[in-house]
Amino acid sequence: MNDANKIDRRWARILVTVLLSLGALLMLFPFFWMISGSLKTIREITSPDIIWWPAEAQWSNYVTVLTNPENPFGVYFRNSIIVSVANTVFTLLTTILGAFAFSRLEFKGRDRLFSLLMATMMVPSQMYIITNFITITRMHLMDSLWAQILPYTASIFYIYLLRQFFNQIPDQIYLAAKVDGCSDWKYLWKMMVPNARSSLVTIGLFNFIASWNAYLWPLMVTNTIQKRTLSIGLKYFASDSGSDYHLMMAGATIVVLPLIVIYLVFQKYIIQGIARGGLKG
Amino acid sequence: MVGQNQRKTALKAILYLLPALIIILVFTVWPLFHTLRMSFYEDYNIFNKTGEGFGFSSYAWVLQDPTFHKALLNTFIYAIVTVPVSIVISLAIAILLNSGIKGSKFFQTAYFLPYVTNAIAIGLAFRFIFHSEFGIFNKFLGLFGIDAIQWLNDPDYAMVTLCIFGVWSALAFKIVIFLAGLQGIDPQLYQAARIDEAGKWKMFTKITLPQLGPIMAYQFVIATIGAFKAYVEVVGIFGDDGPLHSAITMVYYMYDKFYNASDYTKAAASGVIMFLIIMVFTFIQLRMSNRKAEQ
Amino acid sequence: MKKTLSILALALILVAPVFANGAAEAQAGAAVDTSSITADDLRNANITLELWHAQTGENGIALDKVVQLFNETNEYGITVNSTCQGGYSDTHNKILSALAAGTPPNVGQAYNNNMMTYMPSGRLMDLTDYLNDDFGITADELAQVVPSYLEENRAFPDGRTYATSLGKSTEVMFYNKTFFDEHGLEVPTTFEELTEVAKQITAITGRPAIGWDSMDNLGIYGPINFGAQYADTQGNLYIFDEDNIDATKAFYSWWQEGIQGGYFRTAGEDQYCSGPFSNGTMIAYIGSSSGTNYILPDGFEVGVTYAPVGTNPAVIQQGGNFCGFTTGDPLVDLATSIFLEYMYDAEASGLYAANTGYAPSSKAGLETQAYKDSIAQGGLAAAAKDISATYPDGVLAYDPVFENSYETRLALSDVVEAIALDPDADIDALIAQAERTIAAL
Repeated sequence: MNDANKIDRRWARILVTVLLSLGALLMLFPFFWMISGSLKTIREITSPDIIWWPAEAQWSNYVTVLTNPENPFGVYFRNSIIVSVANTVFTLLTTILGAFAFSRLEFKGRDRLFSLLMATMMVPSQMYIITNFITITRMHLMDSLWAQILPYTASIFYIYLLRQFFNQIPDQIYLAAKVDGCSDWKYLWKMMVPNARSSLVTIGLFNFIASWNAYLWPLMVTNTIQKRTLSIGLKYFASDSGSDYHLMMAGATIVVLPLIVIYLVFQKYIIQGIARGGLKG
Repeated sequence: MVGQNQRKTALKAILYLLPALIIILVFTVWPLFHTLRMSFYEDYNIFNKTGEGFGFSSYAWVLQDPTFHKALLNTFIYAIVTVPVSIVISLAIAILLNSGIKGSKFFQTAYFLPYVTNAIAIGLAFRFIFHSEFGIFNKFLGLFGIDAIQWLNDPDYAMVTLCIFGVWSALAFKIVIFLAGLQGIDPQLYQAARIDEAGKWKMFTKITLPQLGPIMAYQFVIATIGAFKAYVEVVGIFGDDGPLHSAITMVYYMYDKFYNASDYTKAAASGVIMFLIIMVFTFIQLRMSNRKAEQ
Repeated sequence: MKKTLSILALALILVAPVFANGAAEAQAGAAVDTSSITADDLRNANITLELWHAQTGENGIALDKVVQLFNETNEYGITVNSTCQGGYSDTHNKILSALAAGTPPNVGQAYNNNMMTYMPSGRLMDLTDYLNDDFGITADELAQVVPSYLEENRAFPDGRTYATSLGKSTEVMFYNKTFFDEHGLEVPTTFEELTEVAKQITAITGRPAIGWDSMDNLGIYGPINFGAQYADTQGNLYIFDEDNIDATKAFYSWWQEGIQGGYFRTAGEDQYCSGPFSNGTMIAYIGSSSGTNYILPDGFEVGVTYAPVGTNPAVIQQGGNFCGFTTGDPLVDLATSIFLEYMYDAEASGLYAANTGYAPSSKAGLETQAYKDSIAQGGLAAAAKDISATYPDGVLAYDPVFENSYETRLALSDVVEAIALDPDADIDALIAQAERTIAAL
């Protein structure tokens, strides 16, 4: 390679970095706005002029949010953890089994069944609420953590995603394994799952986040504070005539922190192969 | 022998699918039937589940409602604009992030954060971005001598604003999916191409794109379904359906009819129409992607 | 796929009758007879009631105090469990679902137009007879309740009472007192004066002077203030008919002139007028008396006064009310009615008003120590609350609920919003459009 080419490449690299940085700024702004808002006074946060950072950081917002006995974040936190973890574990199980059936097992009407299940994704969830409320009432699960977990333990959305990832794994390996007398069950857990680790972590992460942020359904099926989760706690700071945005942002920051920690922990699984692959050149 | 095998596989498949099927049947298909049934009545009592006037009158009403036409048109615009744009942008970003650029870890986190940021915080932030007088966007455009645009006040701009916001909010999820998809590509393919001294563009079109095929199909299908179901984005940016309902979408229409106007049958009918439209689109896409896969 | 769909459709038609089972037996709201029940019966029954409300934050705590007071002081041993179910729309969704599942609370908080949608369940409690029985509120106490609140709570198609109120906000006018004093401006009390002042202010600031928070309210109460009649509980709309169209149009023209002249505005992208008002770009606005927490003046003094009115003075009273759901058990239902009537109690409404920005439902509530103390503390919230509590009886107004009242409200709101967005809007065309929309419902 000659020098001119090298310089070209360096410039290209700088350009890419600049572009990515600009994009990152745009992506990060709301996040930054949440943090800075959590430290503002209500006047600063409702001011139409842009106040990038408060004159004096109001850490007391966090104290107010965390020490309200009417709105116990400690209880909410525990419930959120239980619901989201249980939800994610069950979803991963049903998703792995379902995706395997749809991607590897040949059976009559497979594609038709898959299409039908796909169709269920197309109905807005707002239409489900009342019927599911009745179902949960009949199951005597009202005002329990189970009511929040159960309806979300299977999702065609994730089954479809994992099926696509499974489809990325070459078929030859499966056929070879079958010839060697490896059972489907063993093959799934020994070959497919480890190979699809990054996609499974991705699905788990998405599901966890969705469960963590769920609002309407958990509110519908809980009557008492003891069974409620963090995102319901945030609503406490909103009312008809306006919202205590500074407290809401402090609450939102507290709610989002665990998600960021989880993301950072699992990031290396999602994007594990940077060193070995990609378009590095 | 073959028949027996097939039956065995079918049984096995059902066992594999059973946990998911039960949950989906109870919590999705069952309410779906309910909605469908409700949509065929003129009047429906949701409390004792009886209806009056079985037929298509709710459909007829919804189909001639100018507001529904508006919602339909807006939803189509939203889907046609945001789906391809967000996919192209997120694919580009994912590839760049995956190329081992310096600070890649930081960028990955930065591009992921919108996905976890609180929706109300996002709404607040974008109101500051789009505010006609104090907003960052107009200040930026002002540098180029462009007059202040009423992003949030002007009904003619509402869909533009919504689409910009829609693309933004769709990126984080798609980038992560693409990144995960890029992990699934066998690095040996690239090494072989490099030995052949293939150019970058060629590697992209001959290896990356085909290898991402299933993921790409997924992105298109899911993004289209998501765009047709846009609701959170509308409320997030406008607080309602925009000035003079200029940003109303099909789900907004349905929700408003059900919970605010208590027109259950019309809400259900609009939901079913929506369902059919999305289904047509999805099956076209699925068929296209399957055909491609076969080639 | 076609085949699958047709099978699906067939299956649906076949199973359709299955859906019809399991319905809650509709209990007719037949005449209530409590004459055979004694106070001892109630005490022995040890009744616990569930209350689902829509008050978050401080307002929720204030409501809980009222509930606590009731639990401690009622002579029937009734205990009320109060839980917040999010905001009004969340609470409404939940009550709707719970009614469908046959498990509603005993008492719910909702807007009256939502209550109307609970009627087909057969479980919405008709309070008309309970109000006059020997339990709960007495006739003397009832006479103390703000008349327009009582009227609102029976403004249903059948004219029966289905709700009670604890406290309400009204529209008031907030103004930049410092600015008014500096420029020697008179605080307006009528629409005419308001127009003059607005023009003067805009001449000084070069910006729209006066804002309206709620287009929904202005769409109905604007025409009413100009002498038009709106609608009745039967769903008859008068606002565009022969007798009223002139007044309605006069209002639209007045509003359009204000927009064209650049001295009136809406909240628009700011969502609430309190933002631009607080930073000094808007000099006065008409908004809810309970929104004072969000008025944070940037270096000026805020004044609050009665909302300016037209030749036919009408100011909206707003806020959710409380309704009951029958259980079929006469004792429990009676207990529910007793708690609902307690909302009209002087101490209860005074206590609630003292801790919120709402005016008490009972005029006697104004005389309670708690309320007086809260007013004596001073501040904008107290001043706004006191304004809303002291409107003359004839001025306070509400809009009746009928089958399509929500959509009608929306269509009228659209007219004023359209004028605000397009100063050159054709009023006749907008009226025609609104009429078409409403007629199609």
